[in-house]
Amino acid sequence: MSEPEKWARDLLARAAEEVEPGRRWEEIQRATTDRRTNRRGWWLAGGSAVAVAAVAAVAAVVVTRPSPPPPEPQPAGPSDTPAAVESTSPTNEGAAAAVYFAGDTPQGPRLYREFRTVETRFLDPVRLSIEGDAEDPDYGSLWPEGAEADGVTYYDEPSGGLLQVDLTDASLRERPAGMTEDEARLAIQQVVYTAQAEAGARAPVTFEVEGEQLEQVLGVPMQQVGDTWQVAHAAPLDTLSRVSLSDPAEGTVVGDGALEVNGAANAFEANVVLTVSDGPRVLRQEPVTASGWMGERLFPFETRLDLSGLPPGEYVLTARVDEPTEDPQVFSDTRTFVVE
Amino acid sequence: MTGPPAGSDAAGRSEADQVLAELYAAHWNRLVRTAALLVRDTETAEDVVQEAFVALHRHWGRLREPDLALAYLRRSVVNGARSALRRRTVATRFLAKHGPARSEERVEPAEESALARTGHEAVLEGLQSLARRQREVVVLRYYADLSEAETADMLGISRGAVKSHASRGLAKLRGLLHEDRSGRAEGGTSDE
Repeated sequence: MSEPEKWARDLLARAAEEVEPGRRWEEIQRATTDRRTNRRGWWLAGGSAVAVAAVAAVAAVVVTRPSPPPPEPQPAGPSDTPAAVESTSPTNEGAAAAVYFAGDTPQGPRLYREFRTVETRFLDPVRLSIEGDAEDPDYGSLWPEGAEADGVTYYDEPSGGLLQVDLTDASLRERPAGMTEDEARLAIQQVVYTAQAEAGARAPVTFEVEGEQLEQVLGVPMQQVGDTWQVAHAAPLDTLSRVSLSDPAEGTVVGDGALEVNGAANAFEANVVLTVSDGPRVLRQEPVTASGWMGERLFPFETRLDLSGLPPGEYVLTARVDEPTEDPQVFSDTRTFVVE
Repeated sequence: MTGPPAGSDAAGRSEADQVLAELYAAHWNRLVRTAALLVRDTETAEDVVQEAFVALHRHWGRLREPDLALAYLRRSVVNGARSALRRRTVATRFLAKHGPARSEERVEPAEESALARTGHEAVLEGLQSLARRQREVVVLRYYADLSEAETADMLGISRGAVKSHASRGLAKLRGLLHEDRSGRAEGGTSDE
């Protein structure tokens, strides 16, 4: 893939990630129900066939089983359909992916998001997450050393789909010594959030080792739905850091006197404070307003910091969110950058 | 006779309902995001995708192929986005004559110009500056992950045209976003 194409994928993926689609299922149902009562037998209407037969576009990242869906929704039984479902989809072009890592906050570890370029959709981002291979040195993984995924598959059916993550080691069923239950739950959510970002859907996740579903992972019981053991995504505000920087990337070199900053936060009155320091001294401080704060999610913020007058050297950008509780808590995310 | 070979009214309906529910669960988010890249604001994007789902339900009797349904939805989204933008062009012309005010004003004017030039706002705005075909090709190729051939089929143009729209679209987008960067770096906000 050419450099401009890579740039475009990354750019569009980030922009799209900030779009939070609202739900419209009730409206759609109402519209289709009205139609039924008003125009009985609508599907018998004549006219030329819709010219869609020529279109064979199925998103490269979505795995669709070849046979028509069964009449009754039933849990996808991934292990009984080996050949039909190729695990993930290698793109030879590279794609931008949101990868969730764990990092510290005043409320204990929470997840932070990093945008990365990956070769293989689904699998690469999940691997990066589990292995804690973050660019920001403050981020890591809560999974035990050596934990590994060797397949991630998105079943585009039935009713909501299912994400399957294949782990290589059955011992991941048990919680390692020294890991708390909260840490284990958050480790699982690293994978859930990362895989769901790839799917663009809140599909539940099931873990397997060598074709066997795990009924618990890191000692955390999975929920049984039909014959699938699965886990759903946990509430964002209990899972994510209240603030997370997307840009700049760690180690960004700035040449033109300004730094583009964007990220996501859930802050009291949408206030995010950005500071630039050279270690001990704060050299710039600027508030930025996120696009919202009333809601169970993070809201994007973005601005451009004027760096004129800063001599060449290494600096730290901090995005800070204060929780004005009785015992005030400060969430922050940092990036190191270099002024040329 | 183009209707379904067998099956009662009820069977046809419930199949359409079920397929719709599955498609909604699996693709709603991504389709709305695709539409948002095409039309810029999320609410219009939701309208466009909602309409696509309703249209799919309406045409299910003739379509009847779950594998084609997603392609049908994508095509409807692209077409719906075009219509939405046409309607908006008219509205914008009116506003330009009769008053200012971008709809989602929520920050101070001074901050607003900075906001418009960075991050996802800048990208959404930049996409709106592309020619229609360029925008569609760029979004389908680089966000919806369609291949050149799939994009060509979807838009009813040749693969060669997809290539050239893609490269021109990218060059323009790149230029727009970089221009802002250097323009602001040198001239601050006083350049207007």
